[in-house]
Amino acid sequence: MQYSRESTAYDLSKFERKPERKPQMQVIKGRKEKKKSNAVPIIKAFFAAVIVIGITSLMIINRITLTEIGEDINDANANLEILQSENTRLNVELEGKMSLKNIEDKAKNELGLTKMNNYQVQYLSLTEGDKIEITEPKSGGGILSTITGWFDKIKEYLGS
Amino acid sequence: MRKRMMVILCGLAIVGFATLIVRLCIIQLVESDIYQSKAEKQQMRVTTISPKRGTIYDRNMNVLAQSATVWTVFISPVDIKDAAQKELIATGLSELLEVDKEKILEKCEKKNYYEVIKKRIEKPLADKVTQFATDNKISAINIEEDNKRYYPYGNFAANILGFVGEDNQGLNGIESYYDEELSGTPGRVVSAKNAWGSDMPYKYDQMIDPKDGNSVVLTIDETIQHYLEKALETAVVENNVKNRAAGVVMNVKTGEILAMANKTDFDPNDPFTVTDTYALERLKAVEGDEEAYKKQLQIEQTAQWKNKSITEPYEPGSVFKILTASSALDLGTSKLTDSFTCTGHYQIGGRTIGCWKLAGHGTQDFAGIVKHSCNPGFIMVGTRMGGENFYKYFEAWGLTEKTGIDLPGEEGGSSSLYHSEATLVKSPHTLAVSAFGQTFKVTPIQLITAVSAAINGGNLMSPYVVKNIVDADGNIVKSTEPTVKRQVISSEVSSTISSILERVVSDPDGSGKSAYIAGYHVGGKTGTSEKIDKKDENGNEPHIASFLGFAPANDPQIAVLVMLDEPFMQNVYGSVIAAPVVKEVLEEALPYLGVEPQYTAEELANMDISVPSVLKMEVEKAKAAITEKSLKVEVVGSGATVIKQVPLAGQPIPRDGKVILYTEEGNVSNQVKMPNVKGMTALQVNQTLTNLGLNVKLSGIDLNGSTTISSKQSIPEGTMVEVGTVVEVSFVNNDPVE
Repeated sequence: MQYSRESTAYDLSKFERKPERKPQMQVIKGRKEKKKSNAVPIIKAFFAAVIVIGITSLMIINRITLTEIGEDINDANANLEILQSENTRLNVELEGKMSLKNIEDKAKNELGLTKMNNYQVQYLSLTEGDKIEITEPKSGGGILSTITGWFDKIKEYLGS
Repeated sequence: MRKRMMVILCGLAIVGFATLIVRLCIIQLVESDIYQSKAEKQQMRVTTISPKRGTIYDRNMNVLAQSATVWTVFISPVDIKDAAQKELIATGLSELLEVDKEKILEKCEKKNYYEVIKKRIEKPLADKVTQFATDNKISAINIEEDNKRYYPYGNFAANILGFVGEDNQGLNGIESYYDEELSGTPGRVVSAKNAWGSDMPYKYDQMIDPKDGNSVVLTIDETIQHYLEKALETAVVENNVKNRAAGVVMNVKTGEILAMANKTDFDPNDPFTVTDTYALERLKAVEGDEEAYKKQLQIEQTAQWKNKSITEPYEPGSVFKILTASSALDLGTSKLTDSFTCTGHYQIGGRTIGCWKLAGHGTQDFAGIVKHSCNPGFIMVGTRMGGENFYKYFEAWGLTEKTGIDLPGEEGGSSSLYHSEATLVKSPHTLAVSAFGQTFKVTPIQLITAVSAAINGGNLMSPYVVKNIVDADGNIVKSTEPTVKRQVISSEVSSTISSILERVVSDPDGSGKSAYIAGYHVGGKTGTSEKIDKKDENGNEPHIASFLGFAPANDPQIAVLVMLDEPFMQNVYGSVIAAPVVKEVLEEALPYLGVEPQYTAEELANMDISVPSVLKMEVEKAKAAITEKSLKVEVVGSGATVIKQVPLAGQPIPRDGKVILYTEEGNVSNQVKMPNVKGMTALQVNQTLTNLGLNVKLSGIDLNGSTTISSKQSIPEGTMVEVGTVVEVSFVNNDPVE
């Protein structure tokens, strides 16, 4: 029998250890290495920082504004109380000037007026006794309303 | 290498952060309470909020007392920079605040932060002080808020309102009695303060709202109070009253006090100043001795603050006869038809008691002894009742207890002020004098309450001064309703007594005729009593003159009691000096209350006429208009038109009076000097004034009576008046009726 070196089943050359090939490297002088761009992460960080600072600042400003407005409200309330009190005091002063005694003194001594006597007062009686009001029916309209009116009068007459 | 460095750095970072985290955990979790409390101590402030003191109103919601904010000026002497600033402060504040400059300089020398310069100044002045401090950059001057109580009408209803002290606490009157209601409840604010001392909002904020004081609505009517005070003031001056006058106006059906006044009194805005003339004389007498002056000042101040109507019992005198008469009729021991004989004196218990009319009244019926205020008549009435019954009714009228009026300091009802039942039974003399209102004491409020019961149908009402208590929003929180204590006499007897008392005023021989008012049914009773316990070294006893009137007599609505304590004049009897005061009050109060006058034909015939207006009229037309009204006319000058008339249009003038018409410029005045017509009879007054060309209006009844003399003239002696001016002259009956 004759054996063939060539195997038709396996390509055994593929399983042979191949000698290592060292890469051929050439040093090229004067050329700088091209840097790969890392901009996206930085921008992201920047915007994040801006947002955080912005929110923090807004919170601080909010607090300041609240405090200031609170102060303004307190001041306004205090002022309101003072003015209300001053209004009370002035009203009291006005009432004092308008007392019955002052009015009478002024009328008598300065204006030369005299007090009215009781018999100079005329009393009027406004009560006129019992009475009823009857509304007048609307005038005008056609024959139908005239006939209706007659019927109403007849009913009234029979009713009384 | 790098790796190792990274590891070391990470390790350090972890250690560092771990330390921080642990420390944070300890502070925030373990020791949180300690730090929280430290923060609270530093930041928290508890501020008391003063409540507003309630207002006092009259029954028509007119303000009688109200509080408002004022300011106190103080300096901080340690903050004064130098001598120049000190001088500036003293000069400036002295000018602005009207305070002695030396006193301010003294305070500037002190070593403290707080020296008050002036208390309770008002806003305009406080603003000037602030401006002064700002302009001159003086940080040592400060102002702080304070409260002040205002009484807008000054010495009006002073003894009812009372006044407040330095801390706004009520010290007298309604201010004191209702202090709890008026004061309110202080509030609290718990808040966090930042480094500048201002609020950190919403942090620890807790507020307990102050509850403002409730306001008080009185039963007092400002208008009626004014009428009463005006009449009393005049009476005190005209009758030289030494120990003040008191007056009360009461609604007899409900017990509401419509007015209550003492004159002289004080200004609640300045309660420590004494104003009474006699009190000032007493103070002047001890001016040299500081200790004695201080003591006397305190006595006078206390006296002027006392409400005489409720704190000073006095002998009621003949006004008490109303109660004796009512009791006797109700008991049945006396009747209207009974006969009483007065000979001018009466013997009882071995002693003689005289009548004010020495000659005696002769024989009278029951109404007669009331009308004439006959002492022997009432001795008989009282004796018939007996001591036991007399005491029973005395008690029933409420005279052995306080009325319970809602004012502080009420006296009365003490057993030392009246006779016991045993005494009245054992001693006929004591019963006799008690029957006509002597030898025991009651307060004015007790007396008017009892007499109101006698005329209102027999119901003893509880008097009161406060109608409602309202909260800050105007809601009524408490209301006083009229309370009937008991029925003392029957309504028939009450009606009978009212009719008899009307005759006291309306009959020509009635003792109270000085209180008569045309068109109105007025009833009343005079009273004159001696202050036995105040006898002087000459044996003279000062008197108290009083009168109690009511109207309308057929359906009594209001009663007025006036009491003049120690009037100093010739005739000190109630009928002469107190009755006209009550008349004056009723004359103004009744129309105000809407009581319509009903004039008799005789009254209408004697009524004055209103002068018609004839200015700018032709002379003949003017003369016709005047004569048409049954008046006389005199034309001065030869002009064609009237340019001036005296009296003026609308002024009342008696029938047959004269109107002067002036018709020429340059000839419009003709004056005469007003003479003194006091003490003259009606005829003498008429002649004197008519001869001067003046119109005379005579008022008072029984003008032709022999004992009727003029007591008042509307224009003082010596005043220059126009010819034709109407002069009103009042007359009183000079009969000394007790």
